[in-house]
Amino acid sequence: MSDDALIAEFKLESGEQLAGIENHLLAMENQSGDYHSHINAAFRAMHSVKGGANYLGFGQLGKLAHQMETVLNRLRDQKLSPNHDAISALLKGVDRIREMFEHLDASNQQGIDRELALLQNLASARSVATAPAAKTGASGQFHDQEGQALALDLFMLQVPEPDQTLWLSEFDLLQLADAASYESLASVWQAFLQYTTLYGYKLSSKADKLRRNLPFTPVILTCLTSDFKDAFPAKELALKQQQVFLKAPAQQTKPAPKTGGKVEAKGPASKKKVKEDEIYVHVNLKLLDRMMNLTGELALYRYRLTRAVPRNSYLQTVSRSIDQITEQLQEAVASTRLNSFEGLFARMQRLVRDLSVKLDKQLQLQARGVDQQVDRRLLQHLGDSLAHLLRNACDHGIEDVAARAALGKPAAGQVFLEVQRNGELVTVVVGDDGRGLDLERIRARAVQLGKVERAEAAKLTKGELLQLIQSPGFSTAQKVNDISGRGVGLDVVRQNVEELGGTLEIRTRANQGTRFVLTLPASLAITSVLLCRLGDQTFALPRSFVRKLVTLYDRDVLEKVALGDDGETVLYHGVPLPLIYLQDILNRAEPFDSQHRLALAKGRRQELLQLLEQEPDARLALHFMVLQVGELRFGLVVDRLRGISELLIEPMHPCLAPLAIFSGTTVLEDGSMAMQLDLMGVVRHYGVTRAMFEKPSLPSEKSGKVNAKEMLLFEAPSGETMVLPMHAVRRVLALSRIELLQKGAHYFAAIDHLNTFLLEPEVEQVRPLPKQERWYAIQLKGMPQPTAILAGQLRVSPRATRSFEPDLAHSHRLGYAMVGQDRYVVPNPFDSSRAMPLGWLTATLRPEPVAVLLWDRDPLHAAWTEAMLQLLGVAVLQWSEGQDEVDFPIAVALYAQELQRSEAHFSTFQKLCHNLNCRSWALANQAGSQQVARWSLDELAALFPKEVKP
Amino acid sequence: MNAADHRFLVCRAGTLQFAVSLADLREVNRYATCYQLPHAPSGVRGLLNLRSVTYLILDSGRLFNGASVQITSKTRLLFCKPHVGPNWALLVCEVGDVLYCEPEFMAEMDKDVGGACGKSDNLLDLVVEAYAPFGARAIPIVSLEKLYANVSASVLDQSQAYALARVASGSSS
Repeated sequence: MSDDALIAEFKLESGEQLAGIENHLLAMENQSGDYHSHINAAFRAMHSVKGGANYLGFGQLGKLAHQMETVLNRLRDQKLSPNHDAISALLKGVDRIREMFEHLDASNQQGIDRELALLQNLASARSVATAPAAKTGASGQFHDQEGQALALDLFMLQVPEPDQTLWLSEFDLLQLADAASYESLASVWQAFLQYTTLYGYKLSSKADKLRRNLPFTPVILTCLTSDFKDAFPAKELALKQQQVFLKAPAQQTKPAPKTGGKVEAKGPASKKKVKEDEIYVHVNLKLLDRMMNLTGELALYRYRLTRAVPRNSYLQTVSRSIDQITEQLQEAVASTRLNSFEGLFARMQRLVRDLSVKLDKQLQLQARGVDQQVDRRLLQHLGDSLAHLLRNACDHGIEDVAARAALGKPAAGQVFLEVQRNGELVTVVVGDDGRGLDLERIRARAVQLGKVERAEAAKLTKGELLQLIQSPGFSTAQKVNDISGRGVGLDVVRQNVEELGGTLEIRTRANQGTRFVLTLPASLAITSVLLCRLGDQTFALPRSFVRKLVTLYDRDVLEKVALGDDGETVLYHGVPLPLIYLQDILNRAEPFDSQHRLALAKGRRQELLQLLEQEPDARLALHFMVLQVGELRFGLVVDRLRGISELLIEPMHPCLAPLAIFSGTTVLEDGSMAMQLDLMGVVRHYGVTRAMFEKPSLPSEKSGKVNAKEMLLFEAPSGETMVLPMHAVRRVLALSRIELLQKGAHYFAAIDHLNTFLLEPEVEQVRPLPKQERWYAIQLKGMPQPTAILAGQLRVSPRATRSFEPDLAHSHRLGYAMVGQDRYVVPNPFDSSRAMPLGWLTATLRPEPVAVLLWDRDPLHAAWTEAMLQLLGVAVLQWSEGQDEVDFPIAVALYAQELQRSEAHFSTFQKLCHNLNCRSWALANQAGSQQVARWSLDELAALFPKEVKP
Repeated sequence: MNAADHRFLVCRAGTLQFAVSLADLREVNRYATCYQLPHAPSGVRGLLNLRSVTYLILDSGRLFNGASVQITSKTRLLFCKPHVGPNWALLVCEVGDVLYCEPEFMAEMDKDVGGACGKSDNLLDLVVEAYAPFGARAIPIVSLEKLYANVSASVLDQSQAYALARVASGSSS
């Protein structure tokens, strides 16, 4: 390896070591985890940095690392307390070493006197250690012959005498060997004896005998007398003993019988396993990207191969295997790009600590969900934004101690970083329990900065004020300091988040705190997208933004689409939703204003009326997607939808990056290209005003209600019109006749690469399908196998169900629903007795009874849920309002469609659950019914408290 | 100096003949249908997927003559090396001879001298490095690096103009 390569590796590894040291120091200061594990790990890492620096001739760096090592040693030997000053000095040392890494070539000319002086003071300080007693554990690391650390936390030897327990840890060996350059373990052992004498430790008289009888070479640094044992709780001791791994150089792994046999040695196999699991290699990100591209290319050819091979041939079998392997390979390569938030959190911990000192405030950073894995590129781009938000929270959000005391808050201000993964999206919340945003000050500041007129400012809503603070140069801070207040930042944060395809939302309450909610795609490489067509071009939209796919037919196109002052709106769930035509967006490169929007809308309406005049029987169809971008909801009209795909989205060509409405490019499975739409860019380009966005928010959502009454009317292959509750529909896909694959008497379609059974709802005996070109697959929530209802026509009805009449005679029907004036059949797709492929929908038989207590005032929804749960092998009990006792000896969970509608009902439920020792009420309260419906059987079973299971 | 540095590929965009350095080219390919990009600057023909890499296709006709290159069997794509700009190709009506010219025979010439080669506009002035003798005429040597830089700059200008227009239309939300 060349010097340059060595240095590069040294920098890379040392960078990680330093990050680790920083974490351990902060953990020691916060008294979290095992003190000795932290100090030992920090010492070991610093020792490596020192060794590398000296070997490569970076003397100054080595000198500083050596001095830090000395201080760490004193901390480890408990001769120095891990107080604020000590940790600060060490952290400064870490920072200085990092700075020196920036200019490694000139590091020997850099001055380190200040840091050395600080560390020397600590090294010579007389204070005696007090490691946190409760967290104490004598721990160390054994090293194998290559110097690799073995997983050893504690090594205890119990000599025959009951009170003679030796505690051995290997770190002292390192120190001794390092200090005296001992060549052999024997001489180390001699030094060990000398060492123990020097420090006045009482060594067992059997020590020498012990050494001879040990089945391994004693790699020992410190010997502590048995009184040290008192520092450990008995349970912890037992646990620690289980964690012992020991090096047996002569391949002797049996325990030492003459020493009482308390040493647990693991054989080479288990040791190897530990090492293999923990082996990491550094791989250049460009190489990973290339691997990603190549697997993408492989997938493309896989697709072509699948199409090219003749059916029912040997080649098809081979092709299918290649298909599966390629998919697994793609998943594996994609996973190499993932990383957790833990590293980022460590940086934030340090930031909050430093701010605590600088601002003279007590601050505590809480983290939740930082082990969530997301695309590493996301983490790279997010770091600065999160740091900015945390700085703002600490500086402006958290009050000083006096103000907090006056409000009855604890002295320490809480700032938190919370990560939640929700399918394709990851939500990062940065918040505080401080004073909240002062809306009146924002209003006044907006006028002062000339952002709005005074009269206009008075009318601004909370949402608009929170948007204003995201505009460039906006700050309400009275003082500008080096932490925050310059008004540069929140707009940049928003921009960063949007560039990553996410949204930023601010929630604030006076004296309760502020939350910045960043919603981002979890993967920047493989993205689940909805493909749509416009003319002969395909466009991709991140699936996470798509709420619903809607098609209006015939009269509905005229009746539900209305002309407003700002363009077209569609009546959706009874309220107007702004409609954006993708065609308009693509045709006009200049930004829109209301005049353009109105002119286009009028023109379109004119054309439509003319068409109907000329051809009164013309069939009309309007396909649009209901999209949610942050708080904004609108409909995007396209020619047709192509379906959902998992695609590698690449950033825009640098030359085209400034184009506002696109965010990336992708290559489709057939080798053609598609652009990914930047939905925020589309919104801005179309110039939709905030007023337009506020109208479409669903009133039912505003009032916290679920609009569960909407029905999906569809025509079954038998020709009968049926209904399904919309809340049960996962999605609807259009299929052409050619995509329906007949296998035996049943039809299937490949949906999302899954062989999906197309269920004919009204058919007890399989019949040939009518010769119709266009079909629809209605995917339902809660189906245990890939199953969709096959439909010929679709129609969404916003009209409420008037009544529901259960059908007790036919298991394939749930009953009959009145929609408007008409009566329709509600099929039972969960009926496992209907004609279907062998073993497809088999009711689960659970080894132990599980029941769900169901409460739903809507009889249709109740019947639907009951059928779904029964298929999962869950017994269902109907619950009536006011009932707070249930004579039901087995596990109980609640499944309530309308739980959130009434506080009073909820409290009754809560009481009932409390009586039954059932904790699932909280979950039911948090999760909407749609989420509940998606639970798998295991997840559902996990809701039940074990203690009430039989 | 590499011999390729003195060799130039003669191309045609409409009536304009020009040459580009072979040292800047990675590959010459037949035309394949591009993905037409809405809102793209006028010189951009579209995007093309070649062996899983997305290339930006610039239309030499639109850039130099204002009229798109008409697709024929002679239409060619000149894929550029990375030092010229990331992943892009120039669409030309056709390619012709390879011209060898030592630097001492190349000269900064008044564009009128090259008038015989065809019409030139401002962009051409910006991207022509020199003129080389080609038969009885002089042919402009186009720097692909400068061409890419100019197109990039014009996209940025367009982007700034767009931002201003958005503010003017009051559509910045």
